[in-house]
Amino acid sequence: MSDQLRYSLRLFFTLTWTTFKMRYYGSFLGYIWSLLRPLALFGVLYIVFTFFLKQSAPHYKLFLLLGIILWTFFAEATTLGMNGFIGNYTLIRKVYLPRIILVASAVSSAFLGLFFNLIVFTIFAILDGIHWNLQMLWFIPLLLALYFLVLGIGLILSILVVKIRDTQNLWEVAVQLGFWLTPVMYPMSNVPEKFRFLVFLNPMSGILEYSRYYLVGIGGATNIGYFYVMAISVVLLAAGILVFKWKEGEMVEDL
Amino acid sequence: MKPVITVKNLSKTFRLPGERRGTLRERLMKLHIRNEVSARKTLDGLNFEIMKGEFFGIIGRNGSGKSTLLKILAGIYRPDKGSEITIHGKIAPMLELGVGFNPELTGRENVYLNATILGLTRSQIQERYQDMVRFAELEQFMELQVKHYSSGMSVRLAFAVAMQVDCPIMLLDEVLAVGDFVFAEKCFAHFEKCKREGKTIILVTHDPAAMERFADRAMLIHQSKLHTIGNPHEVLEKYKALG
Repeated sequence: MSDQLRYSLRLFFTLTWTTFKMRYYGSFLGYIWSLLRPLALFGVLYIVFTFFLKQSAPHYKLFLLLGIILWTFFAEATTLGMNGFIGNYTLIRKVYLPRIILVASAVSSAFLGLFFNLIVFTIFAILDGIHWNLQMLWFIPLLLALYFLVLGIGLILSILVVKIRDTQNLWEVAVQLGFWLTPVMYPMSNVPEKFRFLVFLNPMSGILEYSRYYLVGIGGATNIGYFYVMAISVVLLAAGILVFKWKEGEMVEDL
Repeated sequence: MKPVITVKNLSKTFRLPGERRGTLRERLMKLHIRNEVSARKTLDGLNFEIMKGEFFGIIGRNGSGKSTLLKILAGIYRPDKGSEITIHGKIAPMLELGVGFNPELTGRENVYLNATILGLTRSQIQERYQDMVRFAELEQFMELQVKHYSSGMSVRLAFAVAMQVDCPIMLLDEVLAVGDFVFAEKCFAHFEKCKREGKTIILVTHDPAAMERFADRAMLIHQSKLHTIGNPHEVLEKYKALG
C-alpha cells in the first residue's frame, strides 16, 4: 500500500470518528440522541397511522420504522456531505489533503449513526416476532448501494454549493418533498400503477422497497429492479467522484 | 548540492468575477448581462531553485504574492498552465498553526486530530505525545477543551504538534511571530536543529531580523515578480530600498 493511500485512510477514519463524536459532544444524552430522533418521528407517525388512519398490515410497525431509519440517514448524510467541503474551508485553504475525504468522512459519520439505528430496529424486530431467514442477507448489498448513492449525491452537492449557495435551501426542500414522494410511509403497492415507474426513478424508492421486502416481508422484489437499484447507485457514485475531481481545484480557489 | 525544489516559469492568475453572483436569484436576474471576469496575475514568471538542506527565506510586501507561492508549493492552489514545479520529498505545510483545531475538543483529542492531518500515524503520535505536551508546557491542561485555552496556549500546542512532523521540506508562513520570547527562542532552536538534520526550510516572513539570522539565501518578491534572489543581507537592503 502506498504511503499516500495509507495517509488517506488514516485521515478518513480519524475524521469520520471525530465528526461522529462531535455531533453530540457534550450533550447530556450523547449518542442516544442519534437514536431518539428517528424514534420520536416513528412514534408520532405510528400513532397517527395506526390509531387515526387504521393501518393494520402485519409488521406495519417494522415497515414504518425501517423506512424512517433509512430515509433519515439519506437526509442527514446528503446534507452533511453537502457541507463537507465548505464547512472545512479553513482546513482546505491551509493544508493539502485529498479533499474527497472531507465529504466521504462526513457521509460516513452519518453511516455510523445508521448502524446504531439498525440495532434498534433489530430489537423491535425481535419484539415483533419477525420470521428470520437467509433472504435477509440481500439487505447488505442494498446498504452498500445506499452508501454509494448518498456519497455520490453528497459529492455533487458539495461542489454545487460552492458556486450556488441556494443549493442548501433547495436540498432541504427537496428532502422534505422526497419524504412524501418516496414510499417511506406507504408501500409501493399503494402507488397507482401508472405512477410506479416515475416513483422508481427515484433511487431511494427501490432501496426502501427492497430493504423492506427482504427484512420485513412487505412488498415485492424483482431481479431487474434489484439490479437497477445497485447499478444506479454505482453510477451516481462514479458521477459524484468525476464531478468532484473535475471541479475541486477550481472550487478551492473560490471558497 | 541537489535542488529539492525547482520552479520554472511559475505564474498564477486568479479569475475575479466582476461581481459576486453567489445565489440563484442573482444569477437568474442577471442572466442577460455578461459577468465580466477580470484576471489578476498574482505571480508572474518565477524561476528559482531551492537546495537540499537550505534555509530559504522569502520576503516581500503585503500582497506581493508570497502566500500564494507557498500555497502552490504546498499543493493547495494549482499553478497556471506552462508552469513547471518539481519537488523531491514530502512537504510539511505550516501555513497556519493548529489547522483543524476544534475548540470543542480537548487538547489531547486535538493533538491526535491535528497530527493525523499533518501525516503522523497513531503509534507515532502515542510515542511522541509526552514530548509534545512538555514542549507546549501544557501538562495540566490536556483534558481541557481548547475553547478554554488562551490564544498563547493553543498556539504553543499547535507548534508542539507541528514540530513532530518529520518531512524533509518544511514550509513556514510567519509562524515564528507567535508566543512569548522564551517560547520563540525554543522554536528557533528547533529550526536550527532541523537544519542540522539536513531538512530544507522555507520561511516567509516580514521580520528582517529573523531573516538575517537564519536564512542561507533569500528571495524578494515584489509586485508578483521575482525581484532579487541571493545573500539575505543584500536582499534585505533591496527590500528596504523599495520603501
